[in-house]
Amino acid sequence: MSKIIKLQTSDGEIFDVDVEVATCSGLIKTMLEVLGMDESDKEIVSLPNVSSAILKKVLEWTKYHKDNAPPPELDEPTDISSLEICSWDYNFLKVDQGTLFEIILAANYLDIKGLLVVTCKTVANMIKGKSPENIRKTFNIKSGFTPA
Amino acid sequence: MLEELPWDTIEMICHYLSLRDLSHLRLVSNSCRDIVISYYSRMKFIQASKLRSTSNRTFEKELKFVLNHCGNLRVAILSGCNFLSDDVVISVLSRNPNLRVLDLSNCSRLKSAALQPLVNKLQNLKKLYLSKCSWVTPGVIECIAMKRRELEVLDLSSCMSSSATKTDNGIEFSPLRSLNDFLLESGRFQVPNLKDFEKWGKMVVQNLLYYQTNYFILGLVIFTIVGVIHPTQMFVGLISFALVVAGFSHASDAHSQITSFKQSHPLICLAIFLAVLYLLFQFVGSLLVFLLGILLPIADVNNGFGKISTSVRPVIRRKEPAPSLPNKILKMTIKT
Repeated sequence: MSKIIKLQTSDGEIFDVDVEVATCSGLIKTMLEVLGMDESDKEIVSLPNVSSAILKKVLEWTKYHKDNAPPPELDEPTDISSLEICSWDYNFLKVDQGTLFEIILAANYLDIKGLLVVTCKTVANMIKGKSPENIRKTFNIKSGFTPA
Repeated sequence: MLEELPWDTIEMICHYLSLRDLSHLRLVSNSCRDIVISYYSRMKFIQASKLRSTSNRTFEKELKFVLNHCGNLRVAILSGCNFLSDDVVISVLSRNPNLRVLDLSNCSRLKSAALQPLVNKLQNLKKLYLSKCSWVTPGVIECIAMKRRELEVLDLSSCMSSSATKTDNGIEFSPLRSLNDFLLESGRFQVPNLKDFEKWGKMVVQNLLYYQTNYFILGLVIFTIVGVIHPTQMFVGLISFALVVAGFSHASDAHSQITSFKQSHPLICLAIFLAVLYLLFQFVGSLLVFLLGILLPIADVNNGFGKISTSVRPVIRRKEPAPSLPNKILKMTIKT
């Protein structure tokens, strides 16, 4: 059986997570590398920026994708086809906008490249091909635009 | 919404959007506009055709807006933007010194001055596409060749069709080189290396091509001088030479008739031949003057080939006949 790491969210809930899954997060991986495995075994890693509901979602994603290689760096121009995401991710991210944005924030904070790419693609898909008025509707933005 | 996210993620989202989506997002709200503009300023890649929309005027306006905010471009594909003017391109090139790939194919409204910053600033440029840019002059290409030696690809296809001085027959003349370049300061003379004929021949041909206009003018001048000194003899020589040439070409045209005539009347043929010879000798002085006039310039050119009087004076040629293009240019497509 692999090692377990304890993660505490902002609302105080403690999660027992496989190290293998937890190290999908660049933040936790670096933390473990710096502190050493034995020490972190006993201590609780606190994640003050992540709520338990969001961490649940993030852990669900990392469990499913833990064997996938991290995505390549964004340097080359992308074409439209690269906006496609796999159907599991698509269903996984069928959440309200607030949750989606919180997942983005958590993925960014925990440094999980794959999740970040997929969520950003989802947001891009919400903007793609829409007129400014429709974008406003999608994100519920008040029309307070003053042309520069 | 978007503005609450950290910049890295906003940049990533924008990265997945096309230029057209970004132009829509820009109009959503003030904060979206700020986001998009700061994304433009960091953007590394621009492909103008991705912005093309239904109306040309919106496309033009939008592209100019985007270009005005770019400052970190690596790749700029602006092919087919025939509305781009010199000042837009100059300012874009000046603000993006890290450009590696630049495509200005089919940008017909530009002038060669637009590439000024390219020569001075774009130290990292690797690929330059200028196909169908009729404004590209040989001078521009020379300048690029001199300054941007690290270029790997230079596409000049369908460029030169109307840029070089073109006659109705489709013959192109290279520009007239200055006297300094031709004969004086930078021209270098040396005794030809008689052992390496191949190399010598190549150099001479390049020399002739590079200075073709100079040689042509030199020829005309010598011809005129001889014509002024001996006008009548020149004229008579011209007429007789023309007659001989005309006779020969007629003879070769009506070949079968002549041969049959020759076979049936050998004596008459001999008489005609002798008469022509007599006439030629009669006019030999004039003919010689004419030939002097026409051959002297040719002899001057031939001089370079080493067929005539190589021992009389050293051959005119330069070690480097023309400024050579960068060694690294792998693909050069010059179609006229």
